[in-house]
Amino acid sequence: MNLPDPVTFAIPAFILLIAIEVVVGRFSPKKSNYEARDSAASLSMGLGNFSIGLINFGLVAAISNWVYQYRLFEMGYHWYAFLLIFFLEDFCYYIFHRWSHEHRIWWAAHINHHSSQYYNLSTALRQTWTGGLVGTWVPWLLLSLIGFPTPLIIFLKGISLVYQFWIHTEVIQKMWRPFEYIFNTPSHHRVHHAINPKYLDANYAGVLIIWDRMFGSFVPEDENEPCRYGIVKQIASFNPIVIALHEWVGIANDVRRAKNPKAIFMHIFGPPGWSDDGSRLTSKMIKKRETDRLSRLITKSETQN
Amino acid sequence: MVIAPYILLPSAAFAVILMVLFIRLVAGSRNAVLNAHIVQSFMAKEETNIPVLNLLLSQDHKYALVELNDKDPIRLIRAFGDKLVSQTISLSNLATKGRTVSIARQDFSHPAISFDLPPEEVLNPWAKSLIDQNRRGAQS
Repeated sequence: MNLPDPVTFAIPAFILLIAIEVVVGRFSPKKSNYEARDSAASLSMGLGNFSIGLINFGLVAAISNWVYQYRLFEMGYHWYAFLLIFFLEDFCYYIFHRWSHEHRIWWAAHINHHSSQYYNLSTALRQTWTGGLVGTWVPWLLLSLIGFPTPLIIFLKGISLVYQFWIHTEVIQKMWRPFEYIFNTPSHHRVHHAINPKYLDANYAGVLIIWDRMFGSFVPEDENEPCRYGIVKQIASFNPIVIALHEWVGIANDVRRAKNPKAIFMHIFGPPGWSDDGSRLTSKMIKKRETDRLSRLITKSETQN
Repeated sequence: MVIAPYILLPSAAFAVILMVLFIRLVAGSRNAVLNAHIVQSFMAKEETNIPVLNLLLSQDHKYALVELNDKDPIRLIRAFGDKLVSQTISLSNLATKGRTVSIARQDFSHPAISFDLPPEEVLNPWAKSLIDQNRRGAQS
């Protein structure tokens, strides 16, 4: 069955929506903030991701087809296959995304998407150059094993990517409540991109936010706590090569300085921010530090009263 | 619909260039200009509850050195677009020559910089102490 590539069809819409958001920002800077060098970096990352994808695609499709030979069920292109894969593909995305934030080897491939301090539609295109090399496509092999044909998986991945474009915006605040309850929205995804301690490691959803609600990683946006975007240690470069590779250089340096095999393992597979001397903080440690600080403040104010 | 990569990639690159030009034209130049208030508010969010003891602004207002009441006390703040980036630095990262402060590349994503302090800031006690400590470090 020949399925269209949703991304190719969406490119004109991507361009048009970015242009509209830029114009909105001109008249309403609080709703949209564009910096030409930042957007140039994001768009270059998108272009690089697309180019590398052309090379990776054959290999990943071949592996997917190989797994498909051992499929458990014959899903084919029946109507229920489309319905089922919509949920399962999104679940695979949730797994991929959560692991990308919890293990440094995948975080190194994903960090570039979070490296901008700006949050606008161009940020959506700040995509990885190295994800394919470290096997971030592995969760989707589950779909091949279940019995979904490779073109159907690719089609759904395209749909998910297109969906996730429009949620990278500050123009839209909260949406209709039932929609906010089920789907990933700009509000939920702003939280995901925020570095405020209470927002760290939250809202990994692709299309459906239900996975975060089910697995306890959902955090709603708090109007009293505006999102600050980027990464915990902000980078100071608009160079796409630096953006794509800086965490890999960080891993290499940490591994070179590691004192024992456990430290080497943790620098590669442990949580981002892990250090054997406690000189850096993981998200969990940052969240705990903030909770402790707030507890101290509450205790202090109670004592004063 | 399949477009050959040798057509698609150059076209996409050209579209990116046009898009960036459009963004620059409509959004304009975005460069943060640092002052004491901006740096203090930024530090209050970055380093909650750690008081700022001293602050030095560069002559061009693109950089600031901040001393905090912390075990690693020195922070470099740099304007980055209309955002700010904070780095923890040590005296060994920092070199002074007259009014010029140079800070070595810290890692792959924080390049080396050099800036001048305004003449009046050189009389600031913290600036004097940094310059003296740096001189002693260079002599030893």
